[in-house]
Amino acid sequence: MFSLKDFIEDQQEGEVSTEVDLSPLLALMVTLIPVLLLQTSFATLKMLETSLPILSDRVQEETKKDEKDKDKIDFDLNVFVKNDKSVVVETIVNKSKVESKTFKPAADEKINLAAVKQEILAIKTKYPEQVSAKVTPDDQIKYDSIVRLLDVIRRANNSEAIKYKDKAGNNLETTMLFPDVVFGNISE
Amino acid sequence: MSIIHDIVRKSKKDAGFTLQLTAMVDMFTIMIVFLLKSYDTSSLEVKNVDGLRLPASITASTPKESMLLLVSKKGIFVNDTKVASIVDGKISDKDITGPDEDYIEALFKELDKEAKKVEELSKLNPAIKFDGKLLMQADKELDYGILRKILYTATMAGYGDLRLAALDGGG
Repeated sequence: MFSLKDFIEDQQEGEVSTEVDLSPLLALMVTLIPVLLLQTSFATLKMLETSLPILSDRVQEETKKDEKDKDKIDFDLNVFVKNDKSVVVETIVNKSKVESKTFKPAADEKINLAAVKQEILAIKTKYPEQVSAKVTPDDQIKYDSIVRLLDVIRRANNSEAIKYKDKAGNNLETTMLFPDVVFGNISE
Repeated sequence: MSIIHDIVRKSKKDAGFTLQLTAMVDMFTIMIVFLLKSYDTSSLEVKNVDGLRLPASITASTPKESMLLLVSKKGIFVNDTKVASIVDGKISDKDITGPDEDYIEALFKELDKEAKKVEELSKLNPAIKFDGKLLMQADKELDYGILRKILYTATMAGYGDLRLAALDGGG
């Protein structure tokens, strides 16, 4: 209906709009945004891996896992959390108790995580190749406090990395303290 | 022909304002990029359950597919099925049967049923094995006493590889 000549004329007279029609794009976005909003997870889920004593014969491989580690020293790190929020950190090497320290609750009546952390770092510095710990909380301890304690036991900040030499004499550095945490009183 | 042309030209001249959509499209583009970046395809997500607020942790591990055990202030759920109730911070008396106070029968039955399902599947496909992995999403205000009973029952059903779900606490 319109010739090119008309179009050029219209354009010269400023009567033809050269703007892009954004309405379809906008319609697409209006559809996409609710779909994405429904699918998006704003809270990132993380997990702490722990183990429990097996009271069933369903999984047999797990219980046999440690049998080959016979050349390692017999090391136990026990962390007891009492109902009054005090924490007892106990180190047992070759079946004899090496050290046991009790940390009273902090001023805000919460677990004194800072003091426990210093102790855990000191133990890791002394026994850098050990990776397991047993945590035994009392029944009235809140789950949130246990998770915070597990964080302290399992991992240090980058600035607190432990430097040590392995058996081959290589210099190593780690922020993982005692990542293999077991709950001690599940079957009591 | 020319009459129609004139009418069209006239109507174009007389047309009202055009809505400026550019700014809105810019805003939507930014929103879509942000949402696509946050888009998570994992089936594991924070469940929106009344009475469930997860603790925060600095751990860096991301959750893997496991049996989901959810413990809110109001009940215990296995894969979205409620198996026991929690009343005033304690497991309901009707869910603890028998002489063992730590044993939650309904929870055991549900976990055992799920474990047997995997065992049946492993007979058909040896690549599938029961590994005893359990992902627990528990409310941060719960006492360890409740969780201990739940974990004790879980170990009876063969679930010994426990993963505690937590929110990203900036680790």
